[in-house]
Amino acid sequence: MFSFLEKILPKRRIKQSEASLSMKPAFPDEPDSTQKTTGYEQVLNQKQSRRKAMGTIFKGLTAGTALASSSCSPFMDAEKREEAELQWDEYFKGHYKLMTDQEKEETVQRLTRLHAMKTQQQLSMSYTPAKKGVLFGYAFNISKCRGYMDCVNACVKENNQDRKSKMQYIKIFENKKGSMGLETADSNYFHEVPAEGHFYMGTQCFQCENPPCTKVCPVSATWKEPDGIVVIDYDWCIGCRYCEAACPYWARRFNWGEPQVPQEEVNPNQHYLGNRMRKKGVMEKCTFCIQRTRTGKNPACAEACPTGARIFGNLLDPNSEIRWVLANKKVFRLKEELGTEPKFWYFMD
Amino acid sequence: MTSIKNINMIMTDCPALLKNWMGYIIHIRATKLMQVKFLSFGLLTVFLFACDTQAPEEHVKHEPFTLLIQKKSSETPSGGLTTEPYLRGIQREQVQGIPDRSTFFLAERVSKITHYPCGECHTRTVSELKKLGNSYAPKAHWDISLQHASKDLMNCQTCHPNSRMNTLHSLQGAPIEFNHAYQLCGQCHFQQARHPNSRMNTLHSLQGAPIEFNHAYQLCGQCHFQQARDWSGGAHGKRLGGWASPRVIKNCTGCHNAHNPRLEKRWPSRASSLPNLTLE
Repeated sequence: MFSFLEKILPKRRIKQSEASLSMKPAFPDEPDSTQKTTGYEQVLNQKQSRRKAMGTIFKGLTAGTALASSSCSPFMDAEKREEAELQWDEYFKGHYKLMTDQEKEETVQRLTRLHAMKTQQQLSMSYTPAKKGVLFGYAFNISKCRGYMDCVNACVKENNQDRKSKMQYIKIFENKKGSMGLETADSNYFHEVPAEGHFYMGTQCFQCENPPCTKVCPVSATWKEPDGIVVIDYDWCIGCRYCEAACPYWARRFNWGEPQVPQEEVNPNQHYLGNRMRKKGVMEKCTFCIQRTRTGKNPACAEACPTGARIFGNLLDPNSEIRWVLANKKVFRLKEELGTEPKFWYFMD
Repeated sequence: MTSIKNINMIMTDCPALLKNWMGYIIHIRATKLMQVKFLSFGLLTVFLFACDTQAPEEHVKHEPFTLLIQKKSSETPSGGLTTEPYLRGIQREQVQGIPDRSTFFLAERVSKITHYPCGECHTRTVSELKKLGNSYAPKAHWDISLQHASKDLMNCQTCHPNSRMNTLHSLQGAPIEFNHAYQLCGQCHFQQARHPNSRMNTLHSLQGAPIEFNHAYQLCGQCHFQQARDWSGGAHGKRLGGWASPRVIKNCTGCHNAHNPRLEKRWPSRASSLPNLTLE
């Protein structure tokens, strides 16, 4: 009769409920006083009447059906049952910043397994933390960029961005030489480049040191990591888009629909805070390719750039290329007066 | 204590004050007010001093972030990471002759040149080879047209040494087509590639010193010194592998065709799919 509990609830409690249901009278008069009452037990091991218990169970059944209706079917196969269990655990997991390493490992395992069940593709998802003594920074040479847009293609591919809505993090502005205002720039150019008398300027998330987007999030689903990357917990985001409105650089993107990536194009090298598959109704943005940069690689855009206009490195390393640029070139940032302190500098030859 | 003293004062001055009760009250109020004033002044002074000690910290906070960053240096500049796993298959050569820069490398080039060593064909001078025509050697380098600087400044020999031709020419007193600097010094200082088999195997500087293909930046940097400086620092050129150490970058010839160094115009690889919203 209570077999559905087995399917929708985690195993450790199932054993306990089985014990209480089969070996003892269905609803014991005295709950085991030696056990601490925490979590589920606070609800399930309480002294209660048959009538009340049935009410609770049917209420739970109704709610559970909505979440995982298939899991309640006595005829479903083992895989579907596992999927329902994994989804249940995913649904009730905590905030990423409060997770222990083991919990992070577990959720990564669950997400990998769920993806494998759905698509037969094995992911290698990581949750690599920020390295000590590293603060990422980016420099963009506006004399070198020629508007080829190879970076955009590389970015879309690397970060599993939605192909249906043609999402892209990077935007390249075509500017008339002699003008600096982006209000007159054209980001929808499509002609032979570089056009005579024009220069090109790429924008993306600047990973501000003082990010306005993280402050407006009502659920703390976005924050700045110790290595300076502003990240989003896609499972904690409620999709209110406050951050999108707060960003002065138009760097955040919203998933209006379920993101669609052809299976053969899915990049299996993923990071929990980076390019893992997003879902409908959550925000996403450039993370300086967190899955690559936290292992020492360059971001996909910097790697793809055929002109060498994109320079990436550790701002705290006095011998890094980015530090040389800051020390030897005339650099500027966009909307510096706002005090957002973007870690993305523009410079020219 | 002070209040009691004040009251004593008031008491001694009693008759005058008793005449005017209001005056008495005002007096008391005034003394109290004075006390409060002194007390608050004292507190304010202490507070100001306290603020003054904190002031330098406040100044640090307002220093521009770009400058602030440059004063910091990490004990683990690569965060314990390395780019080695991403450099597999890339032979590297240490960059030489760049002062004030920590050791860095570039992708090796010689092994990528199809018909190296050049001396295998170039046992004779170019003019001799031309006379022999196709009967002697297959026509090579036919697709090369030099689109680099002006004809007055550069020809094949500016970079590629051909000792015999050069020597013969200068001995015979024939007009030398080389650039100005080379005409002045190069005639005497050109000493390398005596052995026919090593001929053309290297480049040479304006002064005639041999430069290996792997170190072509030394050749290009003679004129393009600004680019060479930026390249050695990191503002020009392209990094291979990743941002962590070791630093391996592309040679000049990794991106530029030495015979036609300008990057070509082309169509962008895609069109933007974002609405043309400006940042303002």
